[in-house]
Amino acid sequence: MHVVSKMSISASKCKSCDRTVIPPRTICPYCGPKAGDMSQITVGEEGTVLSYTLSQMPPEGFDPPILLALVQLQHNAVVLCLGNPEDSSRIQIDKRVKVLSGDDGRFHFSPVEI
Amino acid sequence: MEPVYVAGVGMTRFGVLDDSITELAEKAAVEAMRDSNSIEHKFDYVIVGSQDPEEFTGQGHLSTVLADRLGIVPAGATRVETGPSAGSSAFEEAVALVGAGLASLVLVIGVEKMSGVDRGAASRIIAKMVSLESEARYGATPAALAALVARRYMHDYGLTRDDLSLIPVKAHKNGAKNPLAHFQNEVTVEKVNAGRIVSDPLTLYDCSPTSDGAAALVVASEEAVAVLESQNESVRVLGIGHATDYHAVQHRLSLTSLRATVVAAESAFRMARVKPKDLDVCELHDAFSILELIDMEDIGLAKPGRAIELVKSGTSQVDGRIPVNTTGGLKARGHPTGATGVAQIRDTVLQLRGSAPKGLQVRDAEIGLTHNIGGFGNNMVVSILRRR
Ligand SMILES: [Zn+2]
Repeated sequence: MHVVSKMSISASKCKSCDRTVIPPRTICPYCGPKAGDMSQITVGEEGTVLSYTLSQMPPEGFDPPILLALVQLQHNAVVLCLGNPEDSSRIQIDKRVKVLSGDDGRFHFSPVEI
Repeated sequence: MEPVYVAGVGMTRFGVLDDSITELAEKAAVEAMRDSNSIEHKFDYVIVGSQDPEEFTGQGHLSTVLADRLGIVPAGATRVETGPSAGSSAFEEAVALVGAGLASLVLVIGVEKMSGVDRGAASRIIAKMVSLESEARYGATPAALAALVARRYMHDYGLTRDDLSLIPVKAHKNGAKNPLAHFQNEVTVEKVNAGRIVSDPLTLYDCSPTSDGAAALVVASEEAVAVLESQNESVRVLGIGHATDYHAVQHRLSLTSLRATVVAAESAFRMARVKPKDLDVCELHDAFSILELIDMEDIGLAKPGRAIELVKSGTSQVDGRIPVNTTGGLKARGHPTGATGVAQIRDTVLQLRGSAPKGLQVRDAEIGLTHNIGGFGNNMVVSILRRR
């Protein structure tokens, strides 16, 4: 897997409720069309782990184990990301991580060393 | 709404079975018809709840096929699909038809035949419930999402692995006394803890199985119940609620509470004019052990993070103040997805009639609740029933 480092992640922010969602959308899922089109923004790559799991039984087409984390980014936008299973012992809830958009079209995270 | 009753119930064994999907549905349906003395009566509709019969079995057009095979043509026939809450949603449609005066006798069938495909194919079919864009493409399964929820819950509330293991232990203890359960063996905390890891912190014993099975109900108006002379066996539908949440877990407003349950339960309680403390028995959707705790909190049996206290004190056991999943829940009764919601109602009807299996009967149960999930933590249906 080649991870292409992009400095920002595309997101959408609602003009009415201020919530931010990834991937981008037009209609705010929280407000519906009455809030108007969402603003298209970018959020920074650093975030915090909300939860994580090392899945030993992923579906067909994935080599187990796979490391998954829900990461909270800027504006409280949350994304599910893939990690390197070898990093699983270094991941904890509230750990700072860096999220990158891979050339496979998925988000990947890695621990940030402090 | 006009008064609506469940006048008859039927259910097959749950497990890995030889019967085809139509054979399972027929057996449960005929039992429900006999149970309600309705075998010689005209059904207005058959409503079938099934998650994905096309992919699991290749059987299409299931509702029309079942109307024909059951000999109830020209009854209207509809299949309802809301994922694994399809059975409860089928029941909801029947309640709406009878409650609105559009029908007086409706057959509800929940059925799934999952063992005809191999485990990999089954998990691929089931994984279609989760967000393709934000979850399935990442290899996330319902079990992996449940693991994310479990880890956060353990972190926030200090729940331990041994605590969580009490849920499957209780499920198997009850399932061992249920002659129709998929698993009829007891397990220990040690065995649950030592189970194969599915997605940490969850082991195989935290996850419900894929099963084959069917359950059926006869839903009837007041007048129809009188004609069938099944007044003594009928159970009144007091309330029903149905709600969704945001599809991808990452867009939900909480990881440790399922908003769709809260909303569906509030609607059902409001309609039923009862409160959580009035319940005598509950069937909650424990597809994963952690969900039983979260469900208990979301329907109002316990404050956030406190449901485990009711488990530890025995309050949710069959002889406790608010028994939960007396027939084994999804974990031990089994989880043929489309059949589960109908089985929950069937088992609750037996509790309210006083005819639950030996060792599982809740004493003097008057009001029961069922809660069925139709995705990962999404598309919930909550029903409240009362003894006549
Ligand atoms: Zn909004």
